[in-house]
Amino acid sequence: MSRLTDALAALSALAVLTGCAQTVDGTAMKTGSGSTQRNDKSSKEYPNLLKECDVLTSDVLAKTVGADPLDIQSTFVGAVCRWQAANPAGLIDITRLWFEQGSLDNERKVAENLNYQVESRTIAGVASIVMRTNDPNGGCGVASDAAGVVGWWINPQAPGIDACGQAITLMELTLATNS
Amino acid sequence: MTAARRLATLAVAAVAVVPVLGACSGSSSEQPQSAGQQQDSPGPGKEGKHGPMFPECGGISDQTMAEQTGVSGLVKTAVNSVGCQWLAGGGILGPHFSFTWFRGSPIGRERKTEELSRTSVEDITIEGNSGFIAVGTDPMLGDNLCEIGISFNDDFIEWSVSFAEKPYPPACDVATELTRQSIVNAK
Repeated sequence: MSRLTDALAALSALAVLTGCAQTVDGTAMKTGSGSTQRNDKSSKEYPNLLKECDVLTSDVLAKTVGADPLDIQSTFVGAVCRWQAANPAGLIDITRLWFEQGSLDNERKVAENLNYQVESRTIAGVASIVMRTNDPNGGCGVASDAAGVVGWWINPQAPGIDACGQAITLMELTLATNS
Repeated sequence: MTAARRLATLAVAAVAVVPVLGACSGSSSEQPQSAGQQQDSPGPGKEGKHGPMFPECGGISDQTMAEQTGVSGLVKTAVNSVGCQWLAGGGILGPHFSFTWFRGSPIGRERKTEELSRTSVEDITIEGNSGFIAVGTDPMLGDNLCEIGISFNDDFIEWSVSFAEKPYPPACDVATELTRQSIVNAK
């Protein structure tokens, strides 16, 4: 139990330091199971745990898709992140992907399998593809050969929005961040 | 994993939030580690071994979603190469259902995120493929959230089912059935 106490103390201290006490809600410690083991490897094993969605701030995302910075909401987090933002013309769903063991070739293969239009392109000097879905609102994504593969999708819920332009802008900003 | 449950529950719209738990990075030492978690994945820069091809949205139709969830008025949004989400009227307030296909991404990291935030995370096998099943509990609604991740070599899929009001069917029954159908739809 002392390890549990230590872990709880460490967690509490971190919660105070990082101001995240509300977000863990006391459910973080899944204990009591005989198969549960504790170690200090996870931060080394998964150095980007919980950080994947923060490469661009939500303010930057909102601005890029023409939304007020107050009108964007995260809906999914992890190696795939989703947000929804309110452009005056309609809602826009934003998706980011980062597959460190993925590849641009595999993303192209998947897009072709889904019958998307795929176009090769260089973004900020990095080999990339632009993908267009067949939906009437013009969903558009980009994927680039960086740290495995990184991608952005813009899916407007109304027609007349330059989804490809917005996705490419987000990728340009992302690749700039990495350099 | 789904991120907006807190805000949706509180009906606090139009607030730009850091993703749930987003401020807690670095707190992952001394956390529980599940036995059986995959740890032999290649490092960054090495392409993983990929799994089967999934159709758009895991091959799940709007009609199937309505039948499985019992929620009417769902609109499919964010339809692209990594998945889909179904939201009430297409907006963020209300239930959230999503399919996500990760291609060359460690399922162990996603499971770790679940272990840091959910009520329980257990092993599960569906159609002969293994992964995790996570249950989330809302103070007002009970076990309204269920997320299932199933690995295929170095790929995995995740179904996220999150209800926003009672009555609702058992969330993990819904997630399990949607996962099963998606696996059957893979080629």
